[in-house]
Amino acid sequence: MPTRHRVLRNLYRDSVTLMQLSSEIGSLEGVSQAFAFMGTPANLDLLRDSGVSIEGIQAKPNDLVIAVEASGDNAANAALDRAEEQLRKEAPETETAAQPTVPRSIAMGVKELPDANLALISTPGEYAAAEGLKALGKGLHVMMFSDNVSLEDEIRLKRMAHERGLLMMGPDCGTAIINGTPLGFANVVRRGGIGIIGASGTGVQQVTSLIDQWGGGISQAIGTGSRDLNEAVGAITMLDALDALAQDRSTRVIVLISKPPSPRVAEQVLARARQARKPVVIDFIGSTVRPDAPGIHVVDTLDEAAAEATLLGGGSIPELRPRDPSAGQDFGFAPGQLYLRGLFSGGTFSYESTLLLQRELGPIYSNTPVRPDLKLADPWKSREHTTVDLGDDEFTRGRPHPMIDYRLRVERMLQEAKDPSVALILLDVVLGYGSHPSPAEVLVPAVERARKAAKRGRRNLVFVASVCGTDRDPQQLSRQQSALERAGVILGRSNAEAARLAARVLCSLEGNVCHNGREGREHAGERGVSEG
Amino acid sequence: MTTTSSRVPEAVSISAELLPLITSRAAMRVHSAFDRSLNLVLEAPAPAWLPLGMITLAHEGVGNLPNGILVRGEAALRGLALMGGRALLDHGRLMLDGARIDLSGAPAWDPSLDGVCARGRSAGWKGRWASAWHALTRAVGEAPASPLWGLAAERVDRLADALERRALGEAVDAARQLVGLGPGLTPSGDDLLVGVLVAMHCGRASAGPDDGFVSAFGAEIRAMSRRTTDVSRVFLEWAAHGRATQRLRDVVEVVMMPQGEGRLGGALDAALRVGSTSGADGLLGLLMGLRLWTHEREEDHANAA
Repeated sequence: MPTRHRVLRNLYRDSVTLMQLSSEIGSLEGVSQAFAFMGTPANLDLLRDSGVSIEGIQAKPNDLVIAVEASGDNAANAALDRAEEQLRKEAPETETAAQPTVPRSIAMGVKELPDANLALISTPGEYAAAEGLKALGKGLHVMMFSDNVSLEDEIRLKRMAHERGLLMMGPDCGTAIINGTPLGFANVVRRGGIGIIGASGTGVQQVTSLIDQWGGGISQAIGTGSRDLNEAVGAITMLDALDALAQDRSTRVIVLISKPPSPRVAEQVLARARQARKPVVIDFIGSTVRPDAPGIHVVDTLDEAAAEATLLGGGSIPELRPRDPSAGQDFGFAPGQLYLRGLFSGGTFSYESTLLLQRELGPIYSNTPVRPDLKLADPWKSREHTTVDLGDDEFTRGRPHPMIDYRLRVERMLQEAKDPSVALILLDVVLGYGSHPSPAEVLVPAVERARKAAKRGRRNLVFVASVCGTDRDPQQLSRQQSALERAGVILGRSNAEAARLAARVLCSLEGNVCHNGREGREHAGERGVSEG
Repeated sequence: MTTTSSRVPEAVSISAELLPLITSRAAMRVHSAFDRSLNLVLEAPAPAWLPLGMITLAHEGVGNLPNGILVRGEAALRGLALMGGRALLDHGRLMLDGARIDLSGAPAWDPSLDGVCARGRSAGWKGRWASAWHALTRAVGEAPASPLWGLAAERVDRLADALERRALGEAVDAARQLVGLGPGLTPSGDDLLVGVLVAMHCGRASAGPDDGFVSAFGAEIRAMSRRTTDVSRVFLEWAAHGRATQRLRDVVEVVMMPQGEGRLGGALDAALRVGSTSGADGLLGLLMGLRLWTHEREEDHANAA
C-alpha cells in the first residue's frame, strides 16, 4: 500500500496531541495506518523498521511529519489535508499540574475505591506483570487483558494468586462477566445458574450469548487466559475457578472451554471437575478425550456446550435441525469457483470453523492451522480452502483488533473476491462491549462491493456468517442479523452452524471432494448434498 | 498591541543561570508558543553557557527550568506572542507583543545539581540512593506507560545494560538510537536521557571524580543532540552540564537530605505529572543512571563479603 507524507516545517505539538491525531487520521476511510511525529532521525528509523516506506521524506528534527498508508492518492491526500488542518488549529496543550487528579496507579485507585476487589489491567505487555503483582499484593483479583507477558511471569502471577486465594484471569484474558458486570469484550446477558470458565474470549462470548438467547442466564464467566491449560501453567486459574464455582450457590452448571490441553493437564482438570458435585460441560475444542464419568458432559462445539448447559440448567433449546442452504439453490457459480475463504475476528471461531470444515472439505490452510503442515506460507495470501484469524499478532501489530476495526477484513474480502477460484466467504461477527458499534453498516456495503467485483468476472460469491451477541448488546443482535440477511448473507445461528452451512454449499460444487459421505458432483454423480 | 493589567503575567521565579542575561539588553524571537510555555531564542549568536540561546517563559505549574522564567497568571502564554515574532529583554523587563513582564522582583532559582548532590557525600549517600531506587522503581512502575516503550524497549534495555557495565561505546550507540525517539516536542527518548544524565552527574558530584565515564558520556550526548528538536536539545545540554528541571532536581534533593524519605512521595508525584509521559520517562532515566552507582554499591557489598 503506498505511503504519502507531508512535512510541516518548524511546527511543534505535544506527544498526546500527535498520538491522538495519528489515531484519528488512521481511522479515516481508505487509510490503513497514519503517523504524526517530529522528524528526528530516530523517529524516521523507527518508521522504516516498522515496514513503512520513508522514501522521499526530507525532514529535520524541528519539522512535524505526517505519514499515511492509504488505498489510493485521494484517500491519502484527504487524510493529509485533515491532519494538517487539525495541526494548524490552535491545539490545546495537555501538560501539567492544573488538571484534575486521576488515579495514576493501582495504589491511587484503591485509595479512591477502597471497596474494590478486582483490578483490570490493560497495559503494554512488558509492564503488565509488575502491575499484576501490585494488584495481587493489595488483595485484588486480577483480570489481565494484556498479552505479550512471558510464560514465567504468568506462572509467577498465577501461583501468587493461588496462594492468596485470588483469581488471576489472564494474561491475554479478553472476556469475563463477574457478578453480572461485563469486562473486556463481553455481551449483555441475563444472570442465571450457569457458570463458564474459558481459556478463549470468543468461546466464552459464544456460549454466554447462546445461553442468553435460549432463555438461560450466567452466574459468572471467568476467563483464564489462552495459555492456562498449557503443560507449564497447569491450568492454575481453571482449577481455582472450578473450585470457586463448585462452592458458589448460584452456579448450578459449570461449562469449561479451551483448545485441547496437554493430556496431563486434561486429566487434572477432569479430576477436579468430578469433585465439583455439579454437572460440568466440557468443550476442549478438537480434543478426542471422552471421559466416561458421571456428571461430566463432553461436547464438540461451542453451540453444543451452550445447548447442553441450558438443558442441564433446566431450560429448553429450540430445535437445531441442520439446514441445507444448497437444496434447490443455484448459486450461479462459474466453473473453477471451488474454494472457501474464512475471514475471522475471533481466534476460537477461526479454530472451531477450521476443524469442522476440515472434516468435510479436507485440508484447510490457515495462519492458525489445525495441522502444522497446513500453515499459510504468507498469511496475507490465501490458497485453496483457507481460514484466517485476523486477530492474530501478525495482523494486529500497530492496528486495532478486527472486532473493533473492520477495515483489514473488508480489504481482505475484496482481495478474495477478485480471486476466480473463490466461491464462498465465511465470516464471524462479534457484538458486545468493546466491539464495533454496528458491524453490519460496514459489512453490508463491503459484501455488495465484493459481489460487484466478482460479477465483473462473471462470477457469483456466496457469503455465510454468524453473529455472536444478544439483543441487549449495544449493537442489537436482531438488527445486525436482519441487515446482513437483507444483503443476502446466509446466517448460521452459531459459528459452528455457519461453518457447516458453508461446507454444504461447497460440497454442492463440481470439483470439490467432500467427506462424511458427501462429495461434489464430479465424484458422486448428481447426488449433491441433499441428505442433510 | 495592549493588554489589560489583569492578564499580564507576573514573574515569580528566574533560573539563576539566566541572571547575566536578563540584566542586559537582548533581542529575541519567538521560537514556539504553547498555552503553558513560550520559547524565545536570542537573535544574536548564543553565548556558550546558554544552549541554543533559548530561554523559556513557563507557567508556574510547569516548575522551574534551567533556562526558565516562571510566571503566574491566567492568560495562555501563546496569546502573548506569535511564533516568529519579536521579543526584547531590556534590563529586567521582558517585552512581548502582548505583555511587558517585570522580572526585577522575581527570586532566582538554582538548577545546579552540584550543591544538593555534594550534600550527601559524607553521610552514606549510596545507602540513601539504594533506598530511593526502590521508591523510584515503584513510582515508575505505577506511572502510565509511555507508548514509546512498546516500540523501543530493546533500545532502553541495551542502554541500561551498557550503563551498568560502564561500556561507553555501547552506551553511546544505544543512546544514539534513543535521541529524538518519540512523537512530541520533547520526545520520550530525550526525556529518558535527561534523567540518565541527571543521575550520572549527581552520582559523580556525590562520589567525587569518576573514571571519566560520566563526562565522556555527557559529551557524546551533547554531540548527538542535534538529532532532536531544539527544545529537547536544550534540556539535554543543560542536563549534560549538571543542570536539572525543578521536578527532577526536587527528587534528587529529597534523596540527598537525611530523613528526606517523607518528602520523596510528593516529589515523585510532582515529577510524574510533567507532560503526558515526560515525567515517567525522566524518572525511568534517573533510575537507569542511578544503576551506575547503586550497582557499584552491590559490588562493594559483594567484595566486602
